[in-house]
Amino acid sequence: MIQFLTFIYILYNESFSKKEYSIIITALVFTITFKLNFILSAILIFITLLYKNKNFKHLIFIFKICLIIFLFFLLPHFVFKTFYFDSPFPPFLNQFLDFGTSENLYHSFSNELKDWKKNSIPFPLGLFINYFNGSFSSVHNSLGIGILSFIFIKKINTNNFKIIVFFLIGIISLNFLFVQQTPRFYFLPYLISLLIIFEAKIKNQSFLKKIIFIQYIFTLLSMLILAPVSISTSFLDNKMNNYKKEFIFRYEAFQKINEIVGEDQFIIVDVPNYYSKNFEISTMILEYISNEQELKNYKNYLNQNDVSYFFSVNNPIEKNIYINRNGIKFDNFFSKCFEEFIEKFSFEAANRKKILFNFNKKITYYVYKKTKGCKFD
Amino acid sequence: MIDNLNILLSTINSLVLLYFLHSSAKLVIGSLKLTFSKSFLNIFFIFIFISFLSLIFQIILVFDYKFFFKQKENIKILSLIIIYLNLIYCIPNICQNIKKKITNFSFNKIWITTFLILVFVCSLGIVNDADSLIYHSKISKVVLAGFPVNYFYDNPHYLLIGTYEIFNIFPEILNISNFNALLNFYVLLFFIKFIYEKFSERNYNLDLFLLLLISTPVITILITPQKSFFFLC
Repeated sequence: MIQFLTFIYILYNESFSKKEYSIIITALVFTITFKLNFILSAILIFITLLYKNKNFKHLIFIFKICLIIFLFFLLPHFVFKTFYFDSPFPPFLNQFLDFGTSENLYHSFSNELKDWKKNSIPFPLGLFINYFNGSFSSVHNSLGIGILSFIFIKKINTNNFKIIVFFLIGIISLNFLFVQQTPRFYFLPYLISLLIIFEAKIKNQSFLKKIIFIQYIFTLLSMLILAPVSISTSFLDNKMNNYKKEFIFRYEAFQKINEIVGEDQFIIVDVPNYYSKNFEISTMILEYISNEQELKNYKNYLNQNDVSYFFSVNNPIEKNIYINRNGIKFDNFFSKCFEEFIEKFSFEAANRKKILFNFNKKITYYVYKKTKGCKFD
Repeated sequence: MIDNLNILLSTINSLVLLYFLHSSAKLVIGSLKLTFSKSFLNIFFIFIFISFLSLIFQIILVFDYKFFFKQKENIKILSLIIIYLNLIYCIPNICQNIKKKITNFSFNKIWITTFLILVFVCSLGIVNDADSLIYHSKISKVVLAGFPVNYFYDNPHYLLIGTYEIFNIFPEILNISNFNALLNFYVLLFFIKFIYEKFSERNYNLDLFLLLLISTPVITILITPQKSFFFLC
């Protein structure tokens, strides 16, 4: 809402108050440090701001504010990101900035994020309806039928039409090039397009409202399904935590892992989890590792930390196959150091959708203890 | 029983913390004598507070990654004292405002109120969506357990973390795991209030616009988890 509200402020506010502008610009710039894909929309909103304030004095003021924010906020944030994650930028920017190697972890991870969609319906129709794995169970992951409202426009009244269209073309093009083709990344452009409806003369408005109201009932029902999950897992659970086990992803598995390992140990799992009491090193990085140096770094990281257990999902450790996104197969170097089999345990996969649908998928964990002194090489 | 009591207490703490941020925003808006919509500015100031707090946390983490692990109990006690003192100080105002706001705004649009109530109920729950379990809420747990989040080989999704995930250390210290969902509810509430405040005089399609917004199916997965996506967009 911050970026959308900033856009609304720029469009609908006629007076220039330095204090307010400082707040608005500060918030806009801050958004890029929250979720870095918001850089793209922030740039376009900033261009809109400059376009609406052609007065030279205003421009100097805006640039002064930006300079101050850069020095006192962005710079420390970039230092933090570089210190912890080797780079101040998100993966989609890093892939362009790392000129040394053609294939790298950032590039691979960025492509994975960009290609992720879980929808069989192609773009752009897939933004408005979701059908995946032969089911409409994720139909709520869509922008819905609100776009039909544009058919009911009788007259466009807004003075900001050109700016809105400029923004929409800009953001849709940039999103198409750089980010996932999923509805959430098009939620801001959708909201901004609704500003045309906001001011337009609409024909058959009561009929349109009825159509949208049907969608509202559907959205309300989706919320009604989530509410019992929220309440039951938080306030109504019993000693056995049955609701948490049923609805929260891997909750049951990590309760068992905590029981086996104890607390504050380094362990290897496929996916980390909030309910773990240990420090998980994930095997999923092997999907993105693209060259020898990165693999060496990963092994060094394992060697530096005193890893105690390995949790292999659905397969005994020796049967695990690690292949990255480019199809390169890695040796199963884990099996050499995790020779001692401890136990295996199974449970039913948890899912919030279990409140409506029947899922009977079983997950089995195979537990191995590390041989003392063994090094990964 | 004890677990449920702890969750109940942490839910109360989350509401009191949100109220603390709200009243701090109001105080700043009043002292700066800003004239634009208060609902609009409330959202912005809370966002700026969170960003600054996160920035301080980031600087601390660069110098000492175990700081929060070592100091979490002290920070918890101090923070609880501050936010509850603020609540006690503001109780007369809260009672007056609740009465005024209910009669003025919410219940004359039953479809908005119903939606807001459901969002509020969903926002009270503990972390239960996969992305939050894997990284949005996970990283603050890692920091508070005193582990070194010094590279991304442990979890590549950490490459995506930003200011909010670092701020999240603060609610986690207070055992609050639902703060971002609650913040999403707050933002939606004040956004709707702002739209009616600012645009009710001219002939805008207010109801249709808000109906289109809250009926968008994807809003359910943007507003209920512990992600900052809805807050930002």
